[in-house]
Amino acid sequence: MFRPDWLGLVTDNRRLFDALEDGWLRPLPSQTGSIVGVDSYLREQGEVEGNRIPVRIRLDVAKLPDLKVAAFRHNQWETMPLSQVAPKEVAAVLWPGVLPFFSVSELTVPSEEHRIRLLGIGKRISNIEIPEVRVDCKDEEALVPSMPPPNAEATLTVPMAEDSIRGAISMALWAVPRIDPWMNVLMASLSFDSRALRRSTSQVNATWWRFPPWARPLDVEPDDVQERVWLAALEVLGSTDRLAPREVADRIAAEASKDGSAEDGSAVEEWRRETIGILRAAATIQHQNWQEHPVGLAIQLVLSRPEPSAFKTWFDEDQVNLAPAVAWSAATLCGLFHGYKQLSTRFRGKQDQREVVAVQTLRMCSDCGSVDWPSISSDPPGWRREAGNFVITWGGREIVSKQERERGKWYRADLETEAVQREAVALAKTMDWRCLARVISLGQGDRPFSGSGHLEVRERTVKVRGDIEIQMSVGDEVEERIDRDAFLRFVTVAPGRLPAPPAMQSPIKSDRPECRIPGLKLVDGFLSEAEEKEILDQINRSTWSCELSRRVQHYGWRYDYTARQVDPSMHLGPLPEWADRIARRLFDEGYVAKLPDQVIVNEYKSNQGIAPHIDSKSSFEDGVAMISLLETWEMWFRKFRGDKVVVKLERCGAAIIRGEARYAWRHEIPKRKTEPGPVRRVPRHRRVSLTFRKVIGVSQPLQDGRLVEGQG
Amino acid sequence: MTLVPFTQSAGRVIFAMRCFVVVPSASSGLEGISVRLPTWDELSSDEEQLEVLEAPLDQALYVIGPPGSGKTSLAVWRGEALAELYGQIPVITYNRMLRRSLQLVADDNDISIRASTMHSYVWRDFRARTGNEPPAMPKDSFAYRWEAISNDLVGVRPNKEALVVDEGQDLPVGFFGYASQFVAKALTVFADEEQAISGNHSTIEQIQRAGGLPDPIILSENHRNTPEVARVAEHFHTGRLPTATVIRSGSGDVPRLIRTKDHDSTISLIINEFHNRSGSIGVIVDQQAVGEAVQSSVRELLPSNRVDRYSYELQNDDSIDVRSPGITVLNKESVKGQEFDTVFVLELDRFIPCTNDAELRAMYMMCARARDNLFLVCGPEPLSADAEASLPGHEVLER
Repeated sequence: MFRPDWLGLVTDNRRLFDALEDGWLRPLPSQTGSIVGVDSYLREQGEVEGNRIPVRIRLDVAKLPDLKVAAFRHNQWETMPLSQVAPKEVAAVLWPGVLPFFSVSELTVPSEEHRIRLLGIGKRISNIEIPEVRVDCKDEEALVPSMPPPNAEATLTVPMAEDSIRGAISMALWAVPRIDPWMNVLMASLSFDSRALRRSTSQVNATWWRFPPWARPLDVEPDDVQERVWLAALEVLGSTDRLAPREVADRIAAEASKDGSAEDGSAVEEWRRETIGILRAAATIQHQNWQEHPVGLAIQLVLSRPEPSAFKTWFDEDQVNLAPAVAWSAATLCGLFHGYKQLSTRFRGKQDQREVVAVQTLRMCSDCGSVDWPSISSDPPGWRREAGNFVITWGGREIVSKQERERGKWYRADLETEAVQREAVALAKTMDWRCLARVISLGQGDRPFSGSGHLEVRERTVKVRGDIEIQMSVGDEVEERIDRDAFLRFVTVAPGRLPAPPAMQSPIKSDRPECRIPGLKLVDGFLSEAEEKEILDQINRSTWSCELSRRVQHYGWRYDYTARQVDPSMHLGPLPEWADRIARRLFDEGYVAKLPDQVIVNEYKSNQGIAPHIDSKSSFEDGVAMISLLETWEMWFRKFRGDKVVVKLERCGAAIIRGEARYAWRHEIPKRKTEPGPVRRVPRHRRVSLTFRKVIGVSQPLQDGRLVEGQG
Repeated sequence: MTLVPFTQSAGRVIFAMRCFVVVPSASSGLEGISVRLPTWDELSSDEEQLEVLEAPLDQALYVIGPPGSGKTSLAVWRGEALAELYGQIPVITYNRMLRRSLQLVADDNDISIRASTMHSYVWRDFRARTGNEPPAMPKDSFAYRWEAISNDLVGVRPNKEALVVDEGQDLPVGFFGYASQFVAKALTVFADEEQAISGNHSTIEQIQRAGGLPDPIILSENHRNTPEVARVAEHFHTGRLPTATVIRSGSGDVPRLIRTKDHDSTISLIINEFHNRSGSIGVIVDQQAVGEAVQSSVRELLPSNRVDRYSYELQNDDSIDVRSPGITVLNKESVKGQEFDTVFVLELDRFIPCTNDAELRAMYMMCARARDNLFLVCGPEPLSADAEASLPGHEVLER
């Protein structure tokens, strides 16, 4: 009812920058709190010194906890909750401790010259952002109380360790791998849930994260040397001593080998020597050790990169091969080592994050953990996926929203889908992930076996005793399939940059091209591999025409490339058996409205392609089918003045264009030497394309030379 | 300091300063030209820099500093702030880099900064006010007769709020009198007495008096070394030079003397350092042939990274972004004003023992280029006993 709306004080630009860097406006040296005006401004000190800029700071009471303050009323100081301070009676209160910068609702300076100068200085500083500043010289200042405030104890204090912890949490939020299991580790660590931590950290092979930098569980002991080194690193990097990197390595080694076995001790000593070598440029960081020494590796990264700002280029450019566990641990340790104040603004997150992290850190590491902050609830941290983003909530606020990346997409890709399974197999092979299972699929029938052993079938398990050999029949296959759990484990922990899974590729390619090109139909696996082989055998045995730069074969009707048409004199005879079979399948399955009677076989080698074109409108009916053999290449579609749409012509797949796709879109095969593969670009060798069309107006001559209308 | 011919349209050649300030292509304006931006923690310990930044925009300002003290970047900053306040602001400079940066700032922020040389500014200004060309010496249209100009302008009042002058030491004293009397109410002047290169240069005191300027704020060279690097640099410090005053708050490793057995082992040191830390690496050599050999070996091993060589002969100072991650090979003449994360000084036996102030100064300059890590490299020839003895002790320079 009487509650004040705002508290105000007048200070200078240097004090303002201190507060912006830190997030807390601390009391002046030797004071336990700040005297502020109630619904008015109060001068913190006398006149502003030298050329410093006077700044008025207005703090929103709705964002401050309702602490007991000393209020100057009727010429004396009285203690009362802030909410009971009546603005009409009280001109000033002594706020007992630090003031959070996030409660600042307005900054004002006396003139435009001051405003420009203040913002100008701000631009020269890497780790502060000055919010909007208003020019106003009208507000009158309150009178400084005539009596000094009582010696009250500060109730809101920020301990020394807070800066390190807030730095670690900020960097952890910035760098967390955007994959479900890692998000779970982050959440468990922020909410001190030791059971969830045990479970989630073992899922990501990073058990040392059972000991987050901000929460040391007292009842858990380190299990192995990695965990011991991690705990030692938290101890040394989290201390406020400013040590040189080599001293840090020495101290961590000493700390880590304190209680361990002799074997652990020598492993630590080896790590120490390696680290010193790296710092002296005598050796390089061994990234391939990400499985054996993930923690040691993370510390080496922190020590060789002296500033948090190095992390941006580090992750984005020169160290993309970091394993997620190493990268995240290193970024978090770096935040711990340098502290929040040193972090440039890009690592601090948006306003909501800064506010929540400030308060939550204070709750974690100070005696004033029970203070009730009105704008931040006690809700535990959580995450969800929303519109392609990972959204992190904490204290009832959304603090982070970051785009999902390729890894995260693989984690939830549907491996049951054939295309996804195929790409996953290719990915596993390229990355050398041992997660492929070989599966023998046998059709119905008996299979003889030989060898000294014997077989027994029980409860859907074939038990083999001794050695046997089974003779497979035609049609039996040995396939490679992804072991789902093992694959997802690699997706979660392995280093390297991953491509997006099929159908979840980057936005431009992600919506199926069929949606963007009306009339385009893509049919994966239109031919079986056996059919592909059989057709190729036939084609390879036939004669090629060399009238174009690429080799072609014509069946049914010959197409005149110069006149761009077909005429009755060009009839070559009926389609060969293989072509007729496929033409009928295209017609029977409804992909084309009329039975194709003309086929062109195009052979594309290496950088051969075909310029943008629309198939002759006067020669061919609507409905053109293209079938790809041997390799998957891209075809580009472009409508008049429109954007390019990339369509993958899958090997053994059919692409059928009708209507708009057939008449309004030009299509081409780019002339280039490589095609995008599942992981990186792969060189082109040979692609054979079969084009099925129906010639217009002319009907197929019957054996006796009469013409009849084309079929159906 | 490097001098390069700067051709004027009148066909006369004037020597202008080559300013080794780097403008990364991606950014523009202030950030682009500035050295790596300090944190508030760092800036607040740099009282002179802060004093310049806090100086009121409606008052005169006078700043003196050696190369590498960030004068040009401060000139851009001041020009930008003044233009924002007053809408339009003339800047007098010969410095191409400064003009380019100012143009970018102006374009980005829709403000008006006109950068011109002193000669053309005075010509235009005088003509606009009197309709005549400014009086000059009979045979040299570049040498204005300041006294005659003053007489012609009696009664004229300044019509600008502010004017910024960079490299003021290269301009004639008469100009400062002209600028303060007839052009602007408050001058901002940046100068470096030691850098004066033209015949008719002015001293710090002459500029101050003629321009009606307050006492200068004197900047020291503004590199930010770790205390460990600073200690090695200061070992070579001679009395007359300003010492490195800005020391980073964090701690770094003790610089190291490394003896390599051959060219390849020297190269592998550099490569290792780049693999471990990325960042910018400066490799300082004495002989051009060594620089070429280092560049070609490193380039072979790091084909996809930036490996540049930078020298006066190549005249490529503004095409290289020395601060971006990569390796820059340079000689001692080109290091002034530069800054690298790591510095390797090769051919140490050719730099020490220092027998005079100039050599000490060179060693000081080379060592102080390193922000975080410094390696002094000798070999395959061993250092002479004299050279060895001239180095700092083991606690300061590890062996």
